[in-house]
This record gives sequence, structure tokens and C-alpha cells, in this order.
Amino acid sequence: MIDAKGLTRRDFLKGSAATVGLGLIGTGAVMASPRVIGANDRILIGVIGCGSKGASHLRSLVEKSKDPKSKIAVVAVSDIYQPRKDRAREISGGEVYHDYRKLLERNDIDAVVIASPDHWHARMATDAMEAGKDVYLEKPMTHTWEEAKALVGVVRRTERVMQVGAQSCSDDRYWKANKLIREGALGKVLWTTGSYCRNSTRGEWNYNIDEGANPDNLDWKAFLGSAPKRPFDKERFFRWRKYWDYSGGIATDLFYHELSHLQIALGPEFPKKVSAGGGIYVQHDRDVPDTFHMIIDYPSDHSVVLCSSMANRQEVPELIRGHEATMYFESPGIVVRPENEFKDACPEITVALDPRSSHMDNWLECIRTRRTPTLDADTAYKVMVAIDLGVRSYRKEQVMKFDPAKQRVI
Amino acid sequence: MCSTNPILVRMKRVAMNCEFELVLCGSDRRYLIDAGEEAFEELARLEEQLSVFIPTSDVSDINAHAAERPVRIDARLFDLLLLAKRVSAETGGAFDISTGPLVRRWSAGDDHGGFSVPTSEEISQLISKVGMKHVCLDQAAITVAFDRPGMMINLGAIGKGYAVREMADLLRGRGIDAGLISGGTSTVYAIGHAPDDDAWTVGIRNPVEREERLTTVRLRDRALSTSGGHERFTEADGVRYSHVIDPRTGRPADALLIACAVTSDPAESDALSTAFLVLGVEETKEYCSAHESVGAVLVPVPAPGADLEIIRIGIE
Amino acid sequence: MSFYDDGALSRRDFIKGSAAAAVTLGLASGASAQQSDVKEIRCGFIGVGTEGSMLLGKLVKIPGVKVPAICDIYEPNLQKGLKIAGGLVRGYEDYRYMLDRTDLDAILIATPLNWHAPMAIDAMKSGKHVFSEKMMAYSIEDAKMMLKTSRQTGKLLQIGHQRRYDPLYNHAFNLIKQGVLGKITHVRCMWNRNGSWRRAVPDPKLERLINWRMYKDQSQGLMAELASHQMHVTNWFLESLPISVMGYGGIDYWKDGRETYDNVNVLFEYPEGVKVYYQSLTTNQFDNCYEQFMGDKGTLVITTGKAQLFKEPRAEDLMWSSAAHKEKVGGKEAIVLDADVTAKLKAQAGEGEQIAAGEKKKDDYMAELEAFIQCIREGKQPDCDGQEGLESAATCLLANQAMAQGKKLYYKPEMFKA
Repeated sequence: MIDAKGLTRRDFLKGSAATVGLGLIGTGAVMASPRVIGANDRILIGVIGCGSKGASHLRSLVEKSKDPKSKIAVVAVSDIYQPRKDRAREISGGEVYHDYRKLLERNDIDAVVIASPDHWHARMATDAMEAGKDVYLEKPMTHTWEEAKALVGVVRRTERVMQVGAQSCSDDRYWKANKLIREGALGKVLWTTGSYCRNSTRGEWNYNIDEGANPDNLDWKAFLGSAPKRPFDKERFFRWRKYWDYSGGIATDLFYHELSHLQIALGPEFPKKVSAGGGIYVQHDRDVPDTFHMIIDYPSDHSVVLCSSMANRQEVPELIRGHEATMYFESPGIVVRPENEFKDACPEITVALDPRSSHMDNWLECIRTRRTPTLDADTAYKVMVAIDLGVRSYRKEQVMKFDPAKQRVI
Repeated sequence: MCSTNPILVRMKRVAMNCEFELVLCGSDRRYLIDAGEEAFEELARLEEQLSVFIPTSDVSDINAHAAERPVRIDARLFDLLLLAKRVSAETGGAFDISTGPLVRRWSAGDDHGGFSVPTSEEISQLISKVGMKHVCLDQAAITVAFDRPGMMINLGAIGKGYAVREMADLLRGRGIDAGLISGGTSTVYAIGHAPDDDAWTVGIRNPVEREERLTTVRLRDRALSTSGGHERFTEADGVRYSHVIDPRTGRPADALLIACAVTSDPAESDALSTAFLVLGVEETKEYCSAHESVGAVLVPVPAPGADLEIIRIGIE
Repeated sequence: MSFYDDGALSRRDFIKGSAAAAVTLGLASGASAQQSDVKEIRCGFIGVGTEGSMLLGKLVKIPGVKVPAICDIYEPNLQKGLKIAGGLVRGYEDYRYMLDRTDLDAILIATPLNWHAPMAIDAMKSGKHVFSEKMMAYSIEDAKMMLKTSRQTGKLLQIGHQRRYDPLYNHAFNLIKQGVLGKITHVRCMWNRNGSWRRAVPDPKLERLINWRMYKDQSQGLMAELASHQMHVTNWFLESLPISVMGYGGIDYWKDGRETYDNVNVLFEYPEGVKVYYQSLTTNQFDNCYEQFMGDKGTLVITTGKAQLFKEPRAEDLMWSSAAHKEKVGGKEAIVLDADVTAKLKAQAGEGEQIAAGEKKKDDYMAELEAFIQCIREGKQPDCDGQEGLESAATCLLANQAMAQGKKLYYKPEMFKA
């Protein structure tokens, strides 16, 4: 009699259970569209924002959904630019929406991927979670740190699973690093370096501009959203990362990745002091600097230094320096090398890595189990504070201070 | 379903102080009866939840404790209270489930002849102590609280409509797509249409000549609720004081003999019919023009000797 | 033609059913802090049919309880359950996906009988406490496995014999222990109704799903659905377990294709010669529902909401009976028991033992659910635990077998032990 595995009530119904039309009357004002995990118990997904990153997520999700074991399906997409809508429909076969809110109204959609420009992140994620959907939110979490703080509240209140899309956080090396650091492998952690460098003749973020884009096939007002009102400008639409109105430049686009996984390794913390420097040295066609560095000081007495140029590729090695030893991220895993002064006390350690679900898979698993995903809202928020204060430090030419207890800029 | 050789089954049950009736249309008699029985079981359960005469009911629980602390209820009942609050707000307070003390004052002495017309002072006193504004609904916690002691709610003016609605949902869920569900003379809901017609035709009884039908309304997946002030009243010195009290003035609503509301949600139509009775003709017209999906049938109190006038708003 | 209007874009306008924002209309009297003092217990609910949706409606009223997950394979039931739970609830059709969740403390099961064991066992193994509706399980083996799993996993297991939590039943039990009935020699239990027990089936394919109680592979019929409550009470009040059973059952009236009996008539023998007669009919409701305990000093007739004590002629006056509320039943005078014992009665009791103070009027379903939640909070074993459930189940299951075989069957001690 007891044989739960493999036997469902559906089996003995032999054939599709007739679901009789309900015609529910009455206001159901209390519920946030409770989704029923139903037939085949697949997770139904929508993708909001099908630009280059969005389309890439779309492709990989559609590919994944072809394997029935994955139990997912992409059923809807949304964008405000017609050619991207067409492309998204082609890739996924899902229903296409112009207004993302209509996509969110669908009771059958469980979860959405949000890959819109930064200044839309907070709004779309909030709306999605309040509509009962779990969210994969592309990085940076938000445009400003205040938005991130509010978003943490929304996650808690709506009990949604929100993964912020800094994929490197699902790299096991940073989790192993955290364990080693907590066990004292480095002694007192002092400072950490990370960098993100590129070079090009064209200029970073100078993506192709479709000559055919015009106010008829591109909803300019919708692109702007809450950003400052400006006349229709193709340059701003296709190359939004260059402009303060929509982006934080290197800080939000690139350092967010770096700092997220470093925070996982070091243990997430609010910063107490952030200062930034750099400038527009070569790429003069933008608001944001092409060379940009940040120093973040943390209350537990250590610093993180992040360096970047979009005009030279030479990186600064990613090292976590402790008083007694230094951690190197070298394939195949992590190597901890003691300082000369401490060679006798601690040996050189090499740690191999274990496989982990990809960042997206982790999100999908957490949707089912309701566990907290890898880059959870609280950690992502702490990262956002440091990142956004770096932007402000640069723009105001001033050292930014933060009160972790009160969660306020001092 | 109801097309070839339709069978009509009629079932009755007493609940909430009135007779509920089901007229169900289908092709299998046994099946209709079984479905009807289930609907009546649900009705009994709802009565247990709503009745102020049952000490363990949810409403009794609220009345006993909501002034001390927020009382949790299930989401379905909460939804009903939200509806009550909304109708209250949208009708400027003409509908109010918390006016118990006010109503009681106007019916006090009913059976023993000890009635006296309340003074203006008494009335303003009573009004200050009641009102939906003192009922706090927390949507996140799904709780009800009163912000002052002495508050009581009574779902009598919306409960039958609610029961009709829930029974209709259940019956639809059992595959019944044609039928009439009614709770006393208060509310009737039409599922689908009658076998040989494209709607159900429902009559409104003439309140004066009770054998006569005053007028009819055609319903299809809609509800009709009726409120009358003429059936319950207190008489003193030759004057009749209706028990239907206007929560805004604290005095009996006396402009209309009957007010009917027609909308798609029976609970809403139940509440609205009470509101319309209080609002009178002009304000009901205003309400209906602001709410497209709501219709009304009103019968003003006639001048002595005059015929009854039937005013249809938004209904052919 | 943009969807984005200048100025404020109200979220509430367009997202239907935006529940999560707290809408507090009016000022609550400072008592809202109370809600957060209590530890939150998160429950998943499987099976929201007639019984389940009723229980769910009561469960969500308990402070600190959240129901974020509901499962039912029949869509109309699931939708109703979601409506009742409200808030941040997710619906499932396959309970195993619900059990994957790591954010649930407990699972409540109100499904057809044959599913109690597999679901309860899976739930406990996935780290959740379990409340299972009665009867505990479809077979003695299933019931034992549930109990064993509870022990092995350390998860609490409570069975839904709600009379165990009814203040009136507890009050009556105390009186019995004090000797008001004298020596109980016989017990008679009835649960007679007039009705086919059949539910409307919109599509023939759904017959076995909706009318599961009529099919032997899912149901143990009247003994499980009704008798299990009353046999549980009998075992409880007699403080013993049956020795043997025999009886007659049949499908004698409702010959509609059902496989379970439409009437059961069973005789049990208990230790010290006590005999218990159990009957459940579906064709006549004259006797309605009650348990009658017959002792040499008095008779107790009890059901949910009412209990009466009749004095036997050769018994001394019960010391407190003069103050008790009495009524005439069929020409006989009965003392009406009330769990809300007044101070006056307490004073007059004079037996030395304090009669339990009255509890507020509360329905017994609410009482058993509150007790379950409280047990989770305090980490203590429920009163109506797996052992009591097993005893009642075994009592009823062997009775079914005795009727089927047309023989007197004997209970073995190992039937009641896991």
C-alpha cells in the first residue's frame, strides 16, 4: 500500500483530470495571485527585458526547458523595442508583452528574469514580487543603494525567492574561501584586491545602434521610466551604460560582480567608508569614467581595493591578504600561502573545489524548496551600498561614510 | 448540459433565519440532488461562521475580542469584510455592518410597546460610537480589529448574498451551469440561463399586493438582491419607523419602499440593495452611473392613493 | 502610446490582488505588536476537500500560524483552499513538491484514507511535523509505519480525533474516573444518518476521486470514517483495548456500485467482560450520534456539544447534583454536563479533587489544531498521538475484517504496538 514514489493520484485517474470551469465570482482582493504548481509541476518563467543580456538568458532557459527533467518552461517575454520583441518571440515562442505589468498579471507565471537597464531594476522587481513571482534580477541589484534597501523589505514581506544575477557568486571557490577565512587560515584579513580590465578602440559599451530605431518602434517614455526626461536619443537607448541617468558605469556594471563574490568570501558587511577616483582619460563620449578605482573600508578592519580601466587590460591579481597568509585564486582551486614570518606556524594549503549548481539553477532549485538563494537580497544590498557609494564618491569628489547600524550615509 | 431534456430539481433548506432555495438544471436527477446537498452543507458551515447567535462563530469571536486585539480570520471571510468596507466607502457610509446599537435603539420596545423616538442628542451619541471607520482590516496579517470598545458587527445585510455566492461557486465547480440560488427574498443568483431562454427571469414581489409580481428582471450569471423597509418597523403614534436605519443620519431611511441591486457578485448586490434603500433615488442613480456593472430597481414610497412607481436604472 | 505615464504610477492600480502591502484602514489600538511576539509556525496543507477546507479555515485563525502551501489534486478544491488561506500561499497538485520546501514546520493531511500513511511518512522524513486526519491509516501496517517514522525522525505526529481535546469529553472522563458511573459494564455507540454519502460527480472520470469513501482500495468505510472517533473515545474512557470483535456489515440499501458497507453492526469484547456495541447506519437517523457508557451507578450519554448523566436508582445521590442543571429526557431526569463548571459546583463537589475549571466555549476542531501548534512550539508530544491513533485504527480495522469474514476475530497485542 505504501508506494508513494512514482504513484500519483493522476496515475489512477487514467487520463487527464477534468478540471471544471470555475467562474469564480467575488473579489479575491486578499491574495497575490497564488500560482498553482500544476501539470508536470513545471516552473513557468517570463523574461522582462530582452536586450543582449535578456536574450542570452532567454536562449539558455529555452535550451534548458527542452530537457523534460528540467521542469521549466518560458512562456512569456516583454520588451519595449519591436525588433527585440520579434527576436524574443522567435527564440522562445512565448507570448510577447509590451507592458511588463501585463505579463505580471498572469496567474500562471511563477517567476521572472529581469534584465532591463539598471534604473528599472527596483521597480520591476518590486512589482514582480508583489504579484507573487520569484525573481532573478540581473546585476547590479539596483541603481541606488536606497532602492536596494527598499527591495530587501519587499523580499521579506512577499517571501519571494530573489536571486541577484552576479553569477560568480555560485563559484565554489568563494564559498571555500569563506570557510578557510573563518577557520583562521589567513589570520587577520587586511586587504583584498580585485580588478576588471578591458581595452578597445571602439570604446567600452559602444554597442551597435540600430538606425531603424524610432519613436514608433521604441517606447522611449517607457525606457526612461523614472529617469530624467530627455528627448528621444538612440545613443542613450542602445548605450545606456555610459550615462549616469541609467547606470553607475564600471562600478555597477563590473565591480558589482567582483565585490559580490568577494563579499561572499570575506563575509557580507556594510562598508564604513568608500572613496573613489579615476576619470575619463581616453573615452570622451560618455558621462562615466573609463578608468575607475575604489577603496572600501569595512567596520571589521579590512579594506577592499577595486581597480579598473576600460582602456588597458592589465589586471590586478585577485588576492585576499591576511597578516599570516595570503589567498590566491589559482586553478584548480584556492592556494593559501603563508607569509615568511609565519611559515612555521601555517603550511601552504591547496583546496580543491566542489561542483555547485549554476547561478540560474540555484535560483530554480530555491523556487521549489523556498531556500535562500546564493546571492540573497541581504548580501546583494550590502554590496550595493558600497558600489553606489563608490559612484557618489567619484561624482562628488568626496569620501563617503556610512553608518552600518542605522543604515544611513553619514 | 441543460439543452436536451433538461431536468429541474428544486431543493430548500432553512438557514440564516430564512429559506434558501436551489433550482438546478441538468440531465441527471440524482447528481443534481447530490450537488444540492453539498451546497447546503457548505451553507450550514457558513452559517456557523457568520451567525451572531452561535458563540463559537467567527463573527462572535470578532465581536468578543476585536477591541482588545486584532482577531485573525480566514481569507475568504476577510475578503467579505473588505467588500463591506469598500461598499461602505463607495456609498458614503449608506451601508455599514457596524450599526447594531443604532438599529437596536430604533427597534427597542418593539414587542412591549415601550418605544420612544430617540432624540437628536441620543442619535449623535450613538452615531459617534459606531461606524466602519472603527473597523481596522490588516491585509497582510488578515486580521480585524476595532479601535474602540463597544463595537459590534453583524453580517446580516451581506451574509445571505455571501452564502449564495459560495454555493454558486461550489455548484459551478460540480459542473452545474444552469440554475437559480436564492437566500430568502434577499438575494437570488442566476447561473447561466433557463432551459428555454437565454436568461433566467426573476420576479420582484409587490410589497403591497403580495400575491402580485411587481416587475421582472432577467439575469444571466448575475445576482439580484432586494431590500425593503416596509416589513420591519416600529409603530408609534400612528407613525411607522422602519428598522432600516440610515447610518449617516442615524434615522430611518424612508424614501423607498423597495430597493434592488443587480450585479455579478451576490454578496455585493446584497450589500448594495441595503445601501440603495438608504441612498434613495438620486444618489442611487449617481452610484450606478459611476459603476457601470451595477443596476438597480427602485420603488419609492408612494403618495397616499397613488400607484407604485418602478424606476429601473441600468436594466432593460 | 507609452505604458508609462508621467508622474505617479500607482502599483496598486494594475497589479490585481496585490496582497502584500498592509492596508490598515483606521488606527488599531496598539495591540498589533502582539502578532509578532509568537513564534511563526508555517504549515503545508494537503487535501482541502470538505473536511480539509473546514480545518484550514480554523487553522489560519491561530495566531502565529501561516499557511504558505496548499495541495489538492482536484482543482475546484484547490482553488477554494487558496481562497481560504489567502496571503502568500502557493498551490500544488503533487504533494512531493510541497515537501521539497525547506520553509515548512508542519504538514496537515486531510486526504482520502489510503494516502494518510505515504504522505505522513514522506512529510516526517522531510523534516516536518504531521497532523493527520482520522482514521490514522488504511491498514495496521501503515499505521505502525507512521508511528515508527515519528519515533525515528523525532517529528511530532498527531491524529485528528478531536474529541480528545473537547473540554466536555475531558470533563466527562474526569467524572468517570471519580466514579460517577460506578463500574462500566457496557457501552453503546451509534452514528446513524439517513443519506447516501454520495457526492456529485461532474465527470464520470472523477467518480473514484470524489466518492473515494465508497471504494475499498481507498476507504475503510464507516468504521474508519465514523467509528474510529467513537472507538477512540471508548478506548480512552474504558482505559483498555478490545479483546475480540464480531459483527455484520452489508451493502443492503444503497446498491449504487459502492464497495464499502452502508451499515455496520459490531460487537466488541473488552477486558473484565465489558461489551461494546457499535452501530452506524445510513438509512435512519433516529438515534443520531452519541456514545453511551453504562455503569452500575449511572449512565453517561455524550456527543459533541452535549453530555448527560443519568443516575441509576441504586446509586447514592451525587453530591453535587443538587446544584447541577437538570433536564428531562424521555421521562428520565438527566444532569446536563457543562465543561464550564461554575464556582458553586466546585464548592459543592467536596470530593477533595478540584473539578477542572471550565474552559471557554470553543469548538473541538479548533482545540485540536491549537494543541498541535502548541506542541510544536513547546516540543512536547501531542495528547492524541500516533499510539492513540494506532489503537483506534487497529480496533476498527479488525472489526472490518471480522465482518468481511463473518467470524469472531481476536486482537493480538502486537496490533496495538509499533
